Order: sequence, then structure tokens, then C-alpha cells
Amino acid sequence: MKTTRIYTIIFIICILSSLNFAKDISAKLKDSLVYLQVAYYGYTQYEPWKNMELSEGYAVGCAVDDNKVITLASSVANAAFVQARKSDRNDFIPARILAVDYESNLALIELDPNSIGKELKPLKFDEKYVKGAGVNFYWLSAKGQMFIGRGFLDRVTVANVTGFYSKSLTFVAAGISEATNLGQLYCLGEKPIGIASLSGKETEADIIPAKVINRFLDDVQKGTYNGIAMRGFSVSNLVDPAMRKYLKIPNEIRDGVYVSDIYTIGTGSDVLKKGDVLLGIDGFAINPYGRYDDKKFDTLPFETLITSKTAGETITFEVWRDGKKQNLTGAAKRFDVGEMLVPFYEYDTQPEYVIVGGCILQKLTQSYLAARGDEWRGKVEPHLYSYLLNEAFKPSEERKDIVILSYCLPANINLGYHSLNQCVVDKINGMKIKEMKDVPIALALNPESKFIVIEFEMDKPAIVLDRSQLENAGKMISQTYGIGKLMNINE
Amino acid sequence: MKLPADTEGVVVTSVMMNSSAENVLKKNDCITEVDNYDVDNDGMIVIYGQKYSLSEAIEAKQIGETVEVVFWRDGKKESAQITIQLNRPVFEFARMYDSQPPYVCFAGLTFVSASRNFLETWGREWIKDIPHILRYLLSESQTLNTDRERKEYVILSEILPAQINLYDGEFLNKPLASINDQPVRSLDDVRKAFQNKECEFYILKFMSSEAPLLLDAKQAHAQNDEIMKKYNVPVWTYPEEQL
Repeated sequence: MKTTRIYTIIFIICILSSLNFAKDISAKLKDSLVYLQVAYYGYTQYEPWKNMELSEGYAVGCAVDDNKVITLASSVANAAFVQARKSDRNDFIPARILAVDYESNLALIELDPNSIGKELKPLKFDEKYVKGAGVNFYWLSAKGQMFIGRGFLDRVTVANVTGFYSKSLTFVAAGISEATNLGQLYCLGEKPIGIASLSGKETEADIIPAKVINRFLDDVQKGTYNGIAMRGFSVSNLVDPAMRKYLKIPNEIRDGVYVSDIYTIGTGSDVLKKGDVLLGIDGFAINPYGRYDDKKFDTLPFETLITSKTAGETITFEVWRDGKKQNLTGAAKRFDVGEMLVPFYEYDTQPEYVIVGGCILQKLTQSYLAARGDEWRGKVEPHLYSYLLNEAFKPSEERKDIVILSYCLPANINLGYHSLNQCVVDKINGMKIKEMKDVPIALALNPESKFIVIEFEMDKPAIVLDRSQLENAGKMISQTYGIGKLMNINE
Repeated sequence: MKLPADTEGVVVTSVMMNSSAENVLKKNDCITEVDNYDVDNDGMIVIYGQKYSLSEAIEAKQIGETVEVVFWRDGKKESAQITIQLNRPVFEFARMYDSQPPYVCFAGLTFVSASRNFLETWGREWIKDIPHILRYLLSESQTLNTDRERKEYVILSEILPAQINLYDGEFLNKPLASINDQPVRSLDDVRKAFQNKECEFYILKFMSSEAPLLLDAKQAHAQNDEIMKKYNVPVWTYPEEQL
């Protein structure tokens, strides 16, 4: 009986030690974590002259300097005001955004050096990863209390925040004791290894790892932050033997994905061709499912090989083209999301619009479409969604924006056109509209004509406005609908 | 529009391809009368004191009869007779009853004509739930179609799993654009393409898909009977034809 009890105790000890509980270092982190309070004041998509209701949110800031913290870009998007609270203070410290990169989902915040008092204790992020290891995560609450949660490192992948484009290296923590998506600090033992990204998941956490954080910080510190490289093409799997045979790929070549589309912006857009078979990048072979063997993290999607580069670095593609292997070298490129034909998002800036005779002309963006609410993809007009789906990454000199008639604010001048909405503008006064900046130029054309003519794609009827009534109508519309300015075109 | 003051009517924004109005009306014509009924600015006509859409004047006629249309073009008043025809759209929106839908089933790939009947297989909220490309074709089929020869859109509606089509799932529910670079304008074109056994591959290109679907022609024909037997497909195509 006694022997059995001893064995049981030994067994329990073994089990507990194998669970690899990480040590609680909350006390040590008190001077390294801050509570960030953020006031948001974005713009409404369908009334772009109006701000959204003022709202508040919070995030966790992790010290990376005496008075600087890193947090999520998604937490400070459309921020009007940021303030921070330290564990040793009851009052808030004014803060400002120093650098933000939505594609890495990272932002650097500076706390006012004159108000900070005791300096923060900077953390050093460690690029360590141990599959299956227990991890703790920490955050400082609004009341200045340190909290701790637990989980374990489950896998490495690439991920992005919904609505952002680039997919970067991401650790996934499973079995977490509490949902984390506001920049909570993840530690492996006593070493900080990353911060929680926005994921919307309850039982798992996406962690932006040290590798991504350190690169962002290094580049910002150097003052030469060019942003992460972004993919400029799309691929499809190449597992079908018939397709490989058709492409005349020898049997001994087992790797490669089919390059199915080339964008006009982004990495690879200048060197790859549609129909190429992408065999490898920078010496890493890409399998037919688009994954490569990472030295540290098993197999990962090939996009990591692009997003792990800073724009401007050299990148080499190995392709199967014209019946032979070829190496193509180019520069890793990034693009500003605003350069896209249909930008995925527009933060920290007022949407561009022109209101003429009550007709609201504005730029098509994913944020505009997504403003329809849940399941917006099934609700939006198919011809608008088609631009997002098929043309978003293909801006050209001939077309830099998709300008749409959002809807008409009912007024005498636009009687008969009230039901016209969600149409893509083709021409104004005979001038082809390539971008929002063209709209005011085109409206000023043909001053001798009595009419302003707005023509649309897809056989939608043209709008004809009486030019002589425009000025008075503009005043009336401004007054009736409470519109401060009838035009916002960003420089 | 160069219309006299107080003229009421509606503007023609597009004319349906292959319709009986195609050679009569033009974009930007302003229709003011249909069969002696005055057309209001909102497209209504008055019949026995009641307001109806102007299409009522057309729908009341039998195929082969004519309707007189008065319209303004470039500042001139004109009139013309249009013969009433059954102008079938390339994307059939009307529900169809009492007939088996035509199909082609080859190498486990099943093709049907795009129709409302097909779209309604997505259930009650089909208009929201159908894939984007089908919603796009449905809502803009007249504008998107520039091919005068097109009779219908052909969709890959089902894949009966088999070795030959293991990797073709990504093409499901997409409209077929061509086979071996020959445009697919009807199910007949699909039948003819697969009846041709002289090629090494069938290269199927789909609308809204950048990569093609490849079938090894010899293997596809070799496996076809077995696949049909396995999934109880009585004939490879309906209406029936020899493969």
C-alpha cells in the first residue's frame, strides 16, 4: 500500500514537471508594461464628411526604450489621442505615435518625457521558439494591476490581421487561459518572445514574434524604415500530374507552384510572368503546396520568404520558364496600401470625396464595401466587388483609383437620379476619370456648357446637372445635410 | 438630350444583344410613345386610366406581332416598328419547370447551364450565398457578354471524385470560358470539345480563374465509363449524344 502511494506521488511529480509551467515574472515586468488608453475618431464611409462616434479602447504597451513602448498598429488605427498609465503612477501620461506599420501590425509609441517620471525598463525580445513549451502572457490593467495568463506554443505559421494584406511570421499559442489580442506580452520562461496580435480567436493567440518586432525596431531606430516587402503576384498549387506534364516539368523536379497572376505592384511583379513555375526563393525550395522547409520552424508558407525582407533588399526567384530553370533577381518591394486600385484600408486620414449637385463621388476601398456590415461580400454590388477581387493590386497610369457615385443626397438639382448609386464613374464632362484628383479638374471643364455630365460604366444612365444651379444647390445641400466642405482631396 | 421642352419619356441605356430591338433603338434614344401610349418620365403608361410599366404594352402582344415606338434621337423625332420576339437572356432568370436540365458529365466533371434553377440550389438565401462570379454574371450578364454567339454560360457544377479530377476542386462553380482555346458559348461546345479525342490535353479555362484546369485526354476517356458507373450517371450528356 505504502509503495503504491510513493509511486503515485513520483508519477504526479513527473507529470507536473513535464507540463513545463513557466515562471511568473509579473513583478519584474511592472516597470516594462504600460496600459494605453486610445480615443478613436475615424470617419464614416457613407458620409465621409462626418466623423464616427468618438470611442475608446485600450492596448498593452511593452517598453523598448526609456520612454517608448511597442504595441499593435491595429490598436492605434484612427487614434485621435493616446495616453499611457504606468504601474507606479495613478495619473495618465500623454503619448504620441512615433511610427506605425499596419502590414507588420506594429506601432511605436513615445510617452511624454517630461511627464514620465521614473523611466521605463526596456525589454529585449528574444527570438526563441520551443514547440509545446508553456508560455505566460502579461498585461497591466487600467487600475495598475499586473495580470498573468498561460498557454503553450503550438505552431508557427504566417498570418495577417483581417483587412490587412501581408502575412508575416506568427507564433500560435494554444490553450490560452484568456483571449489576447491587444499587445499582451508573451514570455517563454523569463524571456519576452512577442506580443499578442489582433486575431479574434478565443482559445488561441497569434503572437507577433521577436524576429518581426526587432526588425521593425531596428529599422525605425536607423531612421530608414522602408516597411516589409509585399507579395506582387499570386500562385496556385501545382500538384496535378496533368498540369505538371503540360508544363513539361521533368519528373525529377518535384517542387514548384504555378504563378497564376502578376500584379502591377509588389515584390516579383517586375520579374515574374504569369505561367512561370516558382521553384524557390533565395535558395529555399518551394513545394507544390507553396511551402518551404524553414531551418527553424519546419515548413512555412513561402510568403514568409518575402515578408521577412525589408523593402529594397535583394530577392532571387528560381523559376521554370520556357522549358528550363532560370534565376531571376530583383529588389524586394513594398507598396503603400493607398497605391492599390482598391485600397484594403485607409486609416488616420479622411476619405476623399467630392459632392457635386448632391452626388457623392468617392474612392472605392475595401473599408467602404465592408461598411455594409456582416457578410458584406454577399451584399455589395457585384461589379464593385469584382474590382476588389480581381483588380485591387493592378493600378496603372490609366487608372489609379476607382471613383464611384456612392449615392445622391436628394435635392431639386438631382431630381430623377435619387435611386442611382454604387456606380463606377467613367467620364465627367467627357474626361476619363483615372483618380479622385481628376474629379475637380473634370468638373471645371467646358465652362461654356450649360451642363455637367457624369457618365458611368455598365450602361448606367448618365447624370446631367444644370451648371447654373450648382452653386446655389451646393449651399443648400451643405446647409440641409450639415456638410462643412463639399470636397476633400488629399494632397 | 436636345428634347423639346415638356417632352416626357425614358432614356435607352442599353439595347439587348441579339434582340429584335437591337437594330432599331440606340443608347441615349429617348422613348416617348409605345403603341400610341405616351411614356411618362418614370417609364409608366396609362391604360384604361391605370398606370403600368411601359413593358406592359409589349408583354400584351404575341410573338410575331409588332409594336410601334416613337423616340427622339439627336434632336429628331423618329418612329419604328419592333417585332415582338422571345428574347432569351444568356443567363436564364426565369424558373424552369417540367424539363430535365441539360448537362455534360465527363471525367467526373459535371457542367450545367447557368440558370436560376441552378442558383436556387444554394438555398433560401441563394442571392447572398452564391459565389461572387455567379452573382456578377447574373446581375450584369447583358453588359458583360460581348460575344454575339453566346447562348448561355456553362458552369462546372459538380465534381464526382476520381483520380483524374483529384485536384480540380478550386474550379467548382466557375463559368467555363474555353476548352483548348475554343470559346465555350453553350453546353454543345463542351460536348464537341470532349468528343474530340485527337488532343493530348483538354485545357479548360474559367472566367475569374487565372490558372487552367488540365485533363489528360487519354486518361479522361479511359476513366470516364468507370466514373459514370460508380456514380450511377446514366448518360454522359443530356440530351444524349455519342462520346
